[in-house]
Formats: sequence, structure tokens, C-alpha cells
Amino acid sequence: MHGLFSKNPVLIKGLALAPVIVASTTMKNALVLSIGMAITMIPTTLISLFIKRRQGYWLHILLYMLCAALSYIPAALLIRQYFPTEMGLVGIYLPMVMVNSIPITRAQMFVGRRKRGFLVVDMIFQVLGFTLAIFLVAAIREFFGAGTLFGVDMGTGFSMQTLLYPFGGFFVVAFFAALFQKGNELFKRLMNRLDEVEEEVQAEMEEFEKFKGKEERG
Amino acid sequence: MRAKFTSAPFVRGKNSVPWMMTSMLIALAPLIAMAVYYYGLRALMVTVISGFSCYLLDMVCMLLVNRRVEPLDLSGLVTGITMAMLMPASIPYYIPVIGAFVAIVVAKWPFGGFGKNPFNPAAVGIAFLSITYSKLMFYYPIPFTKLGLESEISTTLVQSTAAVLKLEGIPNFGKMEMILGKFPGPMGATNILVVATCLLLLLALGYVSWHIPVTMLATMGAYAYLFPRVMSSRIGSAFYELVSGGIVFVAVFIAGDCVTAPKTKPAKIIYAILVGLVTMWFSRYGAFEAGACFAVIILNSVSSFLDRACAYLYYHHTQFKGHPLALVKAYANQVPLRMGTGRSAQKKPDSSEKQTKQVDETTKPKQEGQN
Amino acid sequence: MAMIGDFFVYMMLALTVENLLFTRGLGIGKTMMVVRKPAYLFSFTWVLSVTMVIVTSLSWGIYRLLRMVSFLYAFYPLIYLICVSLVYVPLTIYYERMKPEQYPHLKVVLRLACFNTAVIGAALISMQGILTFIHAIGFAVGSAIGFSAALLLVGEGQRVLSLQQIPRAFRGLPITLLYIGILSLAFYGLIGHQLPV
Repeated sequence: MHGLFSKNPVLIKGLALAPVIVASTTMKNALVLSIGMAITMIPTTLISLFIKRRQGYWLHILLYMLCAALSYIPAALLIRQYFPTEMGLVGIYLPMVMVNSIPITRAQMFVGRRKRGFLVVDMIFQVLGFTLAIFLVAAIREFFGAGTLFGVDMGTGFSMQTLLYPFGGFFVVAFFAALFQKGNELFKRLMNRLDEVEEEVQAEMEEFEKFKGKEERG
Repeated sequence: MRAKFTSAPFVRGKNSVPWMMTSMLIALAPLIAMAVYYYGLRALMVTVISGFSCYLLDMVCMLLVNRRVEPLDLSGLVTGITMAMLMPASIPYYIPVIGAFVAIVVAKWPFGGFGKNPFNPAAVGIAFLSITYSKLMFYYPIPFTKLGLESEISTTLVQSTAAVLKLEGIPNFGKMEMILGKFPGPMGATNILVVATCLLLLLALGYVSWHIPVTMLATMGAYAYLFPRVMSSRIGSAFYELVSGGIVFVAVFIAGDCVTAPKTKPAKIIYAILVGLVTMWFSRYGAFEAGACFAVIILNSVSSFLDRACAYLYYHHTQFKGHPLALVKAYANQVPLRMGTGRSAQKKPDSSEKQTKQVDETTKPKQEGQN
Repeated sequence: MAMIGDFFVYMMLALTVENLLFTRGLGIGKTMMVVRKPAYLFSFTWVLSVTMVIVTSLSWGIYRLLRMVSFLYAFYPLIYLICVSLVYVPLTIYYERMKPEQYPHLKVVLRLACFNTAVIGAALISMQGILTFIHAIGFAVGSAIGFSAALLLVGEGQRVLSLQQIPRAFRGLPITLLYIGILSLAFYGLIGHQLPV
């Protein structure tokens, strides 16, 4: 459940940063990359349900990457079918998203340890977290960089090309990461404050009970 | 003796930051005056807009980060005016504002504000604007043409002498004209005589040491002398290279900034030599004609390393006679750092013990060179 | 002789202009952990160089062989995986069996150096079919050295930043990204508008 905000894989944990920083120049690119990521998630999750800890350390990685690479084959053909221009634009970052990415890293951490259902849900939210991050970044970059959103011209004459370059991507992602971290912190503080308030209320209720008890006796 | 935890700038003497900023402003004032003399009131407008937006953003960020405002902190103003001096006088008014945003909000406050920025904000701002608006930043009005005060200008703009040099031509202005700044170029950076005077002023006031600007200019002059790229005499080549592109201004006001430059003398000299060399390379082989700000940014990242390296070599040079590889091993055996909680960088001991032959086992002392 | 010259040109190009970290944003993430320990960096560099050279040359070769197959692009990750395994598995087995005292140290480094986005990126670039063999090798060597140099630079920056009082929202990941971004801005002054994709 935390994969969306408080443990967002891209903005808090810092996984799969390369595609988000460089290739998220338009929202269509973001869409393509998210589809790719989602497609990889399915076989990886399935495989991770069955893998045991007994095999060697290095075998895990190879197995995951193997199924990711195999699942890339139909995915690439599909994406080429429907989004040919975007596939050319994201270039080398689409295979990268699929092969060296979030489902694999998370799956490694969960080998044989937790409940199966938990793993699947966590994976789904990780991918959703990635999607959120990349769409946010792409929206800002596309809007300020080219004045369009999803290819539709927004009518502002304002376009700053540099946001579409890699260092622009670094800046936008850095600020979003800071935003999310700040949001996390505020959220934690809020939770702490709520806990404190709850404790105070409890203490008062107990005192009140004691007081009532005294009254009844005496 | 209790050590006080302070951060850069580590100034002595009349050491309050407002006084330092005021002296920088005094040094910049003659340049503003010359810009107004050459380009009219518009130069003043650009300067005022740039300085004011920097100052305003600085205060806003200070409020957000430090929860308090110090109106006397004029560092934003100084950054703004420095950036304005490197822009053409004909630049539309929204560009200094964007530059101010990048310099203050992106390059200064995320790192912690004044004194904690590893990169010079003015350099980052100018570099960003050079890339984003290269057409607007690198075309200058001819001095003494009348410039209106409206936002967009429609007079003819020409390229600066730095662009001419990049194309390996010789600028056709006389030597005296070039020293006095009567050629198209960045607003405050063309008049070398005044800039040199400002340098002397700052030296007298004690806030800039002579090492960085002088070494940097000497390096660049020597490089231009040894490898000229124009068809003139060697001295002529050195002269033209130094005078164009606002290099002297950058050397005095940006490269020597006490927050981002190294703090120990040998480190300063090495830093200045490297800045000079990298500026020359960027100006020749890079995409833009004025490579000084980019060079400053890159070398700002190593200024702390230079400080530490020089301090370490100074204290341990007797151990390394004839074993340069041992230096590399010493660097490798440094205590690893732990990111995250700001002030207290608690360090874990190095767990992989690579036994080196020549070096003793003590890890390198962490010396932030404090003057 | 011209080939050696070309080799060096591409090496220099990969080192400075097309630097994997600053210009293409590759290699961020787990490899940042390597930066924490300068001792790791040296083993990382040589493993990375070896991996890159072998992977690049193998994938280049395979691309040349199978160029005629029409849907080859779908198989790029698979090809990459095969190439990397050919490097990773022998190295791991060698260190696990033959030199067990160095294995714990190298385990992390091997995994990071072989499966990192920089290597994938280099392999994919070499499979685009633009470079000749010598160029590809030069590119690989230059990329490896350039990437390690970039990591060194960023490591120094981390060291400096860890002593400062950064606002809490920016600590850790965001400030690192900002730092790399500003350096990337400066490098961009070198290459201007001819950005590689």
C-alpha cells in the first residue's frame, strides 16, 4: 500500500530513475513506459511466487531477468504496433524499464519471506507508484517545455526547451522527490500528532472513569 | 577549546556578511555606471529587475526554509546584479527573472542557503540562460545606440567578439577600444579597466584574495599565447582572448566567490589554473562562445576535494616520496560517509581491510581547510 | 593507425560528451551505493570496464549476425542478458570457488557492475548499428572510465553535502539528483544542441 506515496519506488527509493529522468519528455512517452513496466510485472510476480531461497544468490537475478526479457518480446511487438513514434522517442529506455527495474528489485527482497498475496499487492502498488511518478514528471516537462499536454496544444506561447533535456529532467525529478519526501514527513507528523491526541483522550477517559468510580463509592 | 560549527564563508576581519555584501555592491557600482553610460537607462532597468527578483526570491526561500526573514542579507541582490552584468542590455525583461529563479530556487536554497551552496548561483543562472535562450543571450546591442525601455527590443543586435574569436576571426576593434569596452558584449563585463579597478578595490577591502583571478587570467593568457586560434601575433591572441566574453568579470566576481572556491592557497592556485584551462577548452570546442560559467560550475564541485587533498599532502608528503600509487590507495581507504542527517556525518569503520604496503593505516584526517 | 585514432576519439567522446551519467542519466540508483566507499570504486571500475567491453563487443557481433531478422528489436534485452550472463556467471563462479576471501567484497560489486543501467545502455547503444567495431569498443572503454569518473565526482559532492545542513525535504535522494543535474547542465555547455538520445 505504501508503494504509491510513502515508499514510492522512483521518488523515494530511487529505482528506475534513468527512464524517468531522460525519457519522460511527453506524456505519451510516459504512457508507453508505464505499459512496459506493467507488462513486466506479471511474469515476474508469477515467478517470484514459486521461487525458493535455496538456489544460489546469482541465480535469482538471472531468472528474473530472463522472464523479464522473454516478456519483453511480445510487449515490444505490441507497443511497436500501437505507438511507433513514441517507441522511437524513448529509444533505449523502454528495454531498460522492463529489464532492470522495479519488479525485479522488489521481488528480490521478498524471496520466500512474506505471504504471497502481500507480495502481489505490493508489486501492483509499486508499479502504480512508478506510473504516478513518471506521469507527473512528464506532465510538467511537456507543459512547460513544449506547451502541450498529451499532444494537445494548450495555447500558452510559453515553451522552455531546456526542460526536455536531461538536466531539466534531473531538476524536475529532484523537486518532485523533495515534494514527496516533504509530504511523507508531514504525513508522519500528522500521524504522530493523531496518536498523541488519541493517547491524551485515552488518559482523560481513564481519569474520568476513576473519578466516577470514586464518586460512586464515596 | 570548543570548536564552533560554522559554514562558509570563513571570513576574517570586518566579518559580518552584510558588510561583505556591501563591499561587493560598492565594487559593482562602477560597472553599473559604465553599463548605463554605454547602453542607457535600459541597462539600469535590467539590473534592477534582476537584482530585485533575486532578492525577493531569496527572501521567500529564506522564509520557507529558515522560518525567518533577514532583510539585511543582500547576497541575493549581489547574485542578481552579477548575473545582470553578464547579460546583453537588450535582453527582454522576463529573462533575468527566470535566471533569478534558477539561481536562487534551484542552485542555492535546496542546498541550505547562503554559505552552503556548492555551486555559484550566478554561474548556474547564467549557464542555464545561455543554454535556454542562446539567441537572446549572445546577441548584443552596439554601444551608444538608443535602447527603448519596453520589454522587447527591435534594434539591430550583433554578436560579440567572443563569437568572432570562435569563428577564428579577429575582432575589428582597436586595442584601446577593447580595453575601454566600446564593443558589443555583456553589459558590465566589457570594460576591462573598470573591472580591474574593482578587483583592486576588493583586494583593498580584503574580501577577495588575489590568487584566483590573477592565476586564472595568467593561465588563460598563457594558453592563448601558446595555442592561438586567430591569425594574429601571439600577444594579440592572448589579448583578444582575455578581453572578450566577459572572462575578466567572471574571474573577479564569480570564480573567486569565497563560498564555492577552495579556501587554502595552494588549492586556490590549482583551482584557478583548472578553471582557466577548462574555460579555454569550452570556449573553443564547446557549443557556446562564453565557456567561463560552465567551467566554474564544474570546478566548484572539486574545490572541496582540492582543499582536502592539499591539506593531506601537506601533512603527509613525507610518506609518499616515490610512491604515487600509495596516494591512490590512501584515497581508497577513506572512511565511507553516511548520507542523510545533515550535521552529524556519523561514519562507519571501513570493513574491507585492504592491506597496503607503503601507507600507514590511519585514515586521512578530515580537514576542511579553514584559511 | 587511423583505427587507433578513431578508437581514442570515441573513447574521449564517451568520456566527456556522451557521459553515461550526466548526459544520458544512466546508472543512477543502486550504483549510488558504490559511491559510499572509495575502495569499492576501484574494483567497480575494472569490473565495469571488463563487462562493458565484453558485452558491447558480443552484442555488436550478434547484431551484425542477425541484422536481417526483422523483429530483432524485440530481442534486444534477451541478447543483452545472454551477454551479461556470459560475463557475470564465470566471474562469480571464479571468485566464489577460487578466491573465497575476496568474494564477499566482490559479490556486491559484481552484481552492481554487471546489472546496471549503464551497461544495458551501452549494450543497447551498440546494438543500434551505427558504430563500427573499433568505435564500439572505444565507446565501451570510454563509457566505463567516464562513468566511474562521474561517480567519483558525485561521491565528492556527497561528501561535501553530508557536512551541510540541507533542508529536510531535500536530504538524501533529491539533493543528489539536483547536484548531478547542475553538473549535467555544465557538461551540456560542451555539447550544445546535439544531444544523443
